[in-house]
Amino acid sequence: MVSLLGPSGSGKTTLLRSIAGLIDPDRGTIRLGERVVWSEKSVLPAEKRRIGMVFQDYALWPHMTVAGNLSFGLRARRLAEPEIAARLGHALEVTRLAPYRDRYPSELSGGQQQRVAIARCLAARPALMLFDEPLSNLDAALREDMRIEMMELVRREAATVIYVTHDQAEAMAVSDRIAVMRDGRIAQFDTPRAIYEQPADSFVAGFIGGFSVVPGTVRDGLFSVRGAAADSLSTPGARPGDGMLVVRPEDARPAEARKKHARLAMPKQIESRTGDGERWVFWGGQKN
Amino acid sequence: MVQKFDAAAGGIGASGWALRRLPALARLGGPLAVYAVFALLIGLPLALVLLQAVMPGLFAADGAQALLSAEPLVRTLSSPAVAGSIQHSLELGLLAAFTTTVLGGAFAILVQRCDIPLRGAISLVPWLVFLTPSYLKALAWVLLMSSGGYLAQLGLLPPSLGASFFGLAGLVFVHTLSLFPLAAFIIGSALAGLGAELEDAARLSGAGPLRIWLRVNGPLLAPAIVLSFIATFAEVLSDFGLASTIARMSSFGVLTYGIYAAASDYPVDFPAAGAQALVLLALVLLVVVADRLLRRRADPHLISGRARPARRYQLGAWRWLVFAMALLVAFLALILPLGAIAARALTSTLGHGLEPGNFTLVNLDAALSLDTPANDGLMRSLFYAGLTAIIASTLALLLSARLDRSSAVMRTAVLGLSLGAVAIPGIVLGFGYILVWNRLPGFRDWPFPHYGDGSLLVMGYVAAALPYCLVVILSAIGQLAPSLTDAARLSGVGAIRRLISVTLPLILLSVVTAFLLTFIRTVFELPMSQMLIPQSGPPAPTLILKLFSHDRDGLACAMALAAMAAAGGAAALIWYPLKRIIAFGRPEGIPAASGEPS
Repeated sequence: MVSLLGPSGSGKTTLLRSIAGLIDPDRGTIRLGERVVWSEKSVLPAEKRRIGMVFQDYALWPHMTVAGNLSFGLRARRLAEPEIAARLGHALEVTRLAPYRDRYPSELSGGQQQRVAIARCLAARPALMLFDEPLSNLDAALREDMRIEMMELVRREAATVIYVTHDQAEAMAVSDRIAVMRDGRIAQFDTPRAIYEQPADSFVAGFIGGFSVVPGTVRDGLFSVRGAAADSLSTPGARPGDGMLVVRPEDARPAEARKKHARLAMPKQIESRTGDGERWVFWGGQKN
Repeated sequence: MVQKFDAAAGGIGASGWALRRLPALARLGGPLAVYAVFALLIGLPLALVLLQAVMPGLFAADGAQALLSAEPLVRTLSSPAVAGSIQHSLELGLLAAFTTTVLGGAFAILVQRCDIPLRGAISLVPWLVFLTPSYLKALAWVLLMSSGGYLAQLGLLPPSLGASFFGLAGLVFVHTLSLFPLAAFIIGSALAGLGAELEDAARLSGAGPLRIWLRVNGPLLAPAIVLSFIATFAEVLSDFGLASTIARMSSFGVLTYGIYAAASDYPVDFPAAGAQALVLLALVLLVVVADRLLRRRADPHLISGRARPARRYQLGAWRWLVFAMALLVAFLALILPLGAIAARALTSTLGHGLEPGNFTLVNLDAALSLDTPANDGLMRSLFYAGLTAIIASTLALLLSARLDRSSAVMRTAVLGLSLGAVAIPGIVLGFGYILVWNRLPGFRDWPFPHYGDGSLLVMGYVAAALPYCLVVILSAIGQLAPSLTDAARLSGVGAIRRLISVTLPLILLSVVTAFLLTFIRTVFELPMSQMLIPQSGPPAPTLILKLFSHDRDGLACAMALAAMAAAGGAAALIWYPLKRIIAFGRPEGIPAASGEPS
């Protein structure tokens, strides 16, 4: 499971649709396995790439039942009826949709519609499955449940998936590898842990964790914050010169915990606060 | 159970995919086909009309020569008759556009914003008026307003009013009643877009109803009002129905009839027809440009979240007065003209009016009996209309599906071409068809379609109907989520099957609507019918006008009545059951799936 993660307009969906063959890139090469599926000289059309996709809006054909949605592509590929029935049965079973096989998409809940979209993809047994922000149309509670269910299903079925999201928590939760995208380019491609612990640059650091990025200078293994009178921090192994200090929220402590850094004291007067119940951010001044 | 996916099973590489090479020509094949259809049906005829205006000798019967000359333009424009026609067309267009916009706007506000009785039935009136051809309404008003007509017989028509009807006043009156639905549709749709929250905000700011209309709704509706003025002005300029009936009878020359007369009446004067067509096209082009500029500059962007339906005004006892006004419009625009046609179809002579002894079924019998000229004309028109509707809606569906996969630039270009083509006067297009298929080498001897044959008339009908069909079907396809066809593509479904199994079922009602609109329009289409009369016999519209001008108005009205019954009946028989079937097929009350056409 590879996630394409990045802010809006970073090119995630464009890359996904290029892989699928729904849009043509300007230049370059797209390979699927060993085969070139797109180059400036040759194009394999989308309908022949054997790639499945779960769309953001699910793209269920509203005039077909659940079973019709699943079998439509299989019939187009002229599979034998017993094969179609077997694939249909399996896909409906693993997605727990068998009781709904004769219902129309408009008769299903959002979560069930999403499962139909995944089942349609599973039934086609594609070489690669593409997920285009499939959870974005669900409410917060259902999104968490569906994410867990979807991941179990995908891993159980041993499918190869490229997953597009702009939600870093979602990407961290579902991915084996993450490609962080910025302005149409991949800024970092690594495991979720490596991206969290060793972001390639300030953009990745800023986008991934809500980290604080502090500019400064490294000299003799010590990092000095630029324009601040704070003590230098020990950063063994850092290259000398201008650098960025990335501070994770969980690494920050109130100044009282370390008397030595009393200059980073808590504000004496809190003027505003915001938070989600678990973590709070305070703003304030030094006035009494 | 772990199922085998193609990658694991060695699907990639082992399946022997043949990479499809796409040379530039193949990639451009689709857009080229779209442009070719437009060029052949609309572009070429129009280009020849323009060429003819500046190269008068280009299609001369003997000694054709391609020399540029402004002579026909100068001659035509300096002719008092043509100058008069231009002036008449402009006067009529401006006056009728004003009165139509006022009536249409008022009707839209009354029906949409006031709590009047029988609102559903009254809101159907504009559609029925819109679908009734202008020349039939004009003929009906001739029957009503002429000195020996029905209103004079009933003592309801002062002689002075009857005399002044046959001139500018009467033309403005009939155009207003005939075109008010267009204004009502344009202003009504803008009105529907103004949510209740805008009025609510104004009310909470202390504004009363009058102030709300003057300061909030009025300015927001202004672009639609101006657009309605422009659209009706263009419609009046392009109209041939009233031009060849009331205007001709009143010797009130207008441009469209001038083109027809120059191209059809002996001695035929193609250069004069071309010059007048050029003037008419230039005027219509100006209107289209004004429309584009207006849309770009004056369209207010509503900053709003979700628009709630506007609240209707509770008028109390006044609602009956408003209801009476709406009924009066329905009576004058629809019931009275159709009543006059029906009365004339069922009576022997106009002079004996509605006397019991005057009623007869002779006219209807002649129109409906097989092997009579009237029935032949009627059947011919119904056949041509059916054929045209099948070809135009199928072509529009194929082009729309093709366009759906094209770039945004291509879609915009074709939509612009279609909307532009809608504005082209039918009489100009008909004249262009004569030039292409009667005079242009290569086309002149082409066996099918051939000049003087029904096939060319059908081609002309298709050209006139295609832009409308494209607009209807493209807008329906535009409402479908693109992911629906993308999903089908990724499921391995080919282009034709995608169109038949995914797109068509979802837009079936729109395709059938385009089919029926084309069918009804074509049964009564006048300009093409007049210009391209087949040698096998005239279609119904030509025959109706001819019978009317030869004082056989009873038979003409019987034909019109039979054609309306056949076209309307067929449309109702197809449309309503289909709508019901589609409604039954989709459960209600449950959130629609993505891509459900709204």
